Amino acid sequence: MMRDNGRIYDFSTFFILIAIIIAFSIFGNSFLKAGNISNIINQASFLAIIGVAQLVVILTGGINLSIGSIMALSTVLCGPMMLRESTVPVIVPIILTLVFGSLVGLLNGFMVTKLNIPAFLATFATMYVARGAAWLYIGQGVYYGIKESIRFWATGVLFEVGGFRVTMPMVVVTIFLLIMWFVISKTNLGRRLYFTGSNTTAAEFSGVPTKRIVVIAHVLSGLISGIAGIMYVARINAADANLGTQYHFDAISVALIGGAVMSGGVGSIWGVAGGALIIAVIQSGMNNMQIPSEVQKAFLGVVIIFAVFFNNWFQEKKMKVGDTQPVKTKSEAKA
Amino acid sequence: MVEFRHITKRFPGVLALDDINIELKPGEVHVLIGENGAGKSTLMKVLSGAYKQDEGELLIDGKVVEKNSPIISSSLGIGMIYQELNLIPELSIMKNIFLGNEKKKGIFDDKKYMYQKSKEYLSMLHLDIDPNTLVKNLGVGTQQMVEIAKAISKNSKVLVLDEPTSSLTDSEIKELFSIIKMLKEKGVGMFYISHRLEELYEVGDRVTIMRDGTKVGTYDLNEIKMDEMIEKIAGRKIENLYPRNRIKHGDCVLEVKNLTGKGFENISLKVYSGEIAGLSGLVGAGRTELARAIFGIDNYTSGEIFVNGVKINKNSTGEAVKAGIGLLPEDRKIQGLALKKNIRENMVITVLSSLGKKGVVNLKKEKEVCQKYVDELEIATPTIEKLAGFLSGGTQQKVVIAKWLMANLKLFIFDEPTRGIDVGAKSEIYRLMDELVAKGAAVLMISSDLPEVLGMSDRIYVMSQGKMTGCLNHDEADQNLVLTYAYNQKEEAV
Repeated sequence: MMRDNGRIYDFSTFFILIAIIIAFSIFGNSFLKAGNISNIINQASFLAIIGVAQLVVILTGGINLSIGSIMALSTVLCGPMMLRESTVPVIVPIILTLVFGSLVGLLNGFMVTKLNIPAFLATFATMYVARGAAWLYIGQGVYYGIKESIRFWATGVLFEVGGFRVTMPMVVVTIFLLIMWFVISKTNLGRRLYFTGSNTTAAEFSGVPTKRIVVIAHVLSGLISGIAGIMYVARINAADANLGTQYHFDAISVALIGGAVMSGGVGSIWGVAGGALIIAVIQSGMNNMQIPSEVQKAFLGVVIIFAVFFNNWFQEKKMKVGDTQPVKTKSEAKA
Repeated sequence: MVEFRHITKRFPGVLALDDINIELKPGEVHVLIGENGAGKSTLMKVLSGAYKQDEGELLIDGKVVEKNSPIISSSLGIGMIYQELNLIPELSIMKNIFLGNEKKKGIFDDKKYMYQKSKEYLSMLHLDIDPNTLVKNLGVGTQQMVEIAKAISKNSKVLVLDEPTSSLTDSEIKELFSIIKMLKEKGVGMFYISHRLEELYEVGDRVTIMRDGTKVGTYDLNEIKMDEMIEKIAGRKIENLYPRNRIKHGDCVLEVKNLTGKGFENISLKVYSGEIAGLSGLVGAGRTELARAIFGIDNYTSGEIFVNGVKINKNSTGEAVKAGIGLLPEDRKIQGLALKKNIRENMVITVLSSLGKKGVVNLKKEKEVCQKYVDELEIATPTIEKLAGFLSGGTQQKVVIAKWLMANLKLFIFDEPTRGIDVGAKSEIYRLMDELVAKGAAVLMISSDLPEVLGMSDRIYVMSQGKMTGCLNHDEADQNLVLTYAYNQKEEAV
């Protein structure tokens, strides 16, 4: 049996990450300081959550454009309970936020599987509906002044080692990623998710309840959007109907740079983590070099194209694993 | 006109062509036959310039082609007509014929000229259609004719026809053959690839038999007999194509009661353990629709399905698999495999729940089981982690079969199990089916291949236009009887 050396190709995202880090440490000042790295990882933690929210749907071959809106709606609905003056136990708004997020995800899943609306259109509509609902509920203004016990999850610093601050988001996201990694790579559900995304027809012909799987993916995406909503609200200290109007795009960027493929069936949790780090590094590095944000956006676009190309190339290499056996022609064999 | 000299082509892991020498004469129909993966298509791709040979020379009109590409070969007069048509459905016949080759008048297309010319080409092929008709409104047979017209418009001197008859009706095939004869008289040389051995004698002059990337030989079709040809294709004598050990059947595994749905009505049938029940009929008789409903892919309006006496709910493949039904679909690439996933992931998808515990996958067990089936079915792959999309067609089929063997089914539904498969692989699949029923499974086999139905089935159900018109025992069935039932309702042929 030959060695299965296809694994390294799953780490293409990290090669890109390393290349970018090297570039910025050459051109930028004090880029590799512990404090700066800590900031970058902290920032990436938030991106990783929405990236995973996007990934679970992309794996099925769909897309979720309503992530930002779900974040806004689910947190705004629970906003009053999260305020400092509220007497409701903290756990209630948190659970409710996740429930609301899941419900919107369920609505997306329902539209995709029962009404046969493509995920792009279904979640595109939800993006407006959920955002509109959040505006209707809150009217003008925001819920400002979030409970410290909630804020701690997004802003807390646990300890500091040589200028490197270990923050709560890092811990939260590490646990979150580990759980999601287990769900996606180690369970039957995850396996069916990938299979459905790779070839829905074949999945159906193999007895996989594809519709249920797609619904579960959307519910999961909504649930994770709820988690992301809480983290962002806790960070900015306010629940706001305008929260994250662009986050669905960020989520797509993270997932794509992380190696996910829009047609489904390809992508990984650690890829998303890498993708989130890449975006955070780019933002930090370019801020450091005082490059205007418009230019940063353009550069990000270039990185996406580059990453997709690079990931593709690696994926193809991976496909050829096991093809390295030497082949002889008959005449060569005789000789 | 075309000469292959010592052509060798390697792919990773495979020697696709090994020192091939073939010559095509003007006005000759040169048939290429061989099993799947024998190298016929690869050779034609070398001719068209889609592939570059590793060794050897390609000569067109006596000149060595140094650099080849689909555009170059087309300009050298090579026309390719593939199995899958390359027409654009949303464009008219005329636009398709002149696609990429438009005749200009100033900056505009010279529509009048192109219309006239198209009309000319079409009438040459005895087709009386307006060139402005959209291709999507044409039947498959007519679309093929348009492909030929397109090749003629480019003044092709050499045509490659890759399984041109596989989706044509009998009358369309006749039409095609008369066109081939006409082109022959004009001196056009043709390579003709087909799995249908009977038709070769009608249309071909010489035949080159290929096996595993090597040339077995070139023969005059007047001098070689069919069974001799089959033997050379398979590389061994096929004693008995249908190896059946008929046994006494056991209990009823599948019972379908008065099932009505889209494409079939009031169907009742039973399949017993230890038997192969054939399901015959013409294309469009509703057999595949019935199978899809039994397997839970499509819904049905009324009726009931029982597996071992237990009623199963409709429209759930999950439930069907749990009840012990598996369907080997007609189109293995689209319906059978996730090409982006590896062999292991494809195989175990049907048995995830039984391999793992509490919804968690058990990688170690998966690998063991997969390796076992890879060995048993002699699946040609260096590792079970190889992606399904990178396997050859025959290997892919075996992976699909392994996937269902694992699931320990009570009832296997085979939908056209041997369509597009070469003789050697066919007999392997037949043997497998016989083993399955010997072990007590039940098989429902949908097939349009009459000899296959007659040779393999214990009982034969015949459907016609959505209705069950007959059920025959294997000892009373013959070709004519089955056909009589298949045409039962009206005498309108396909």
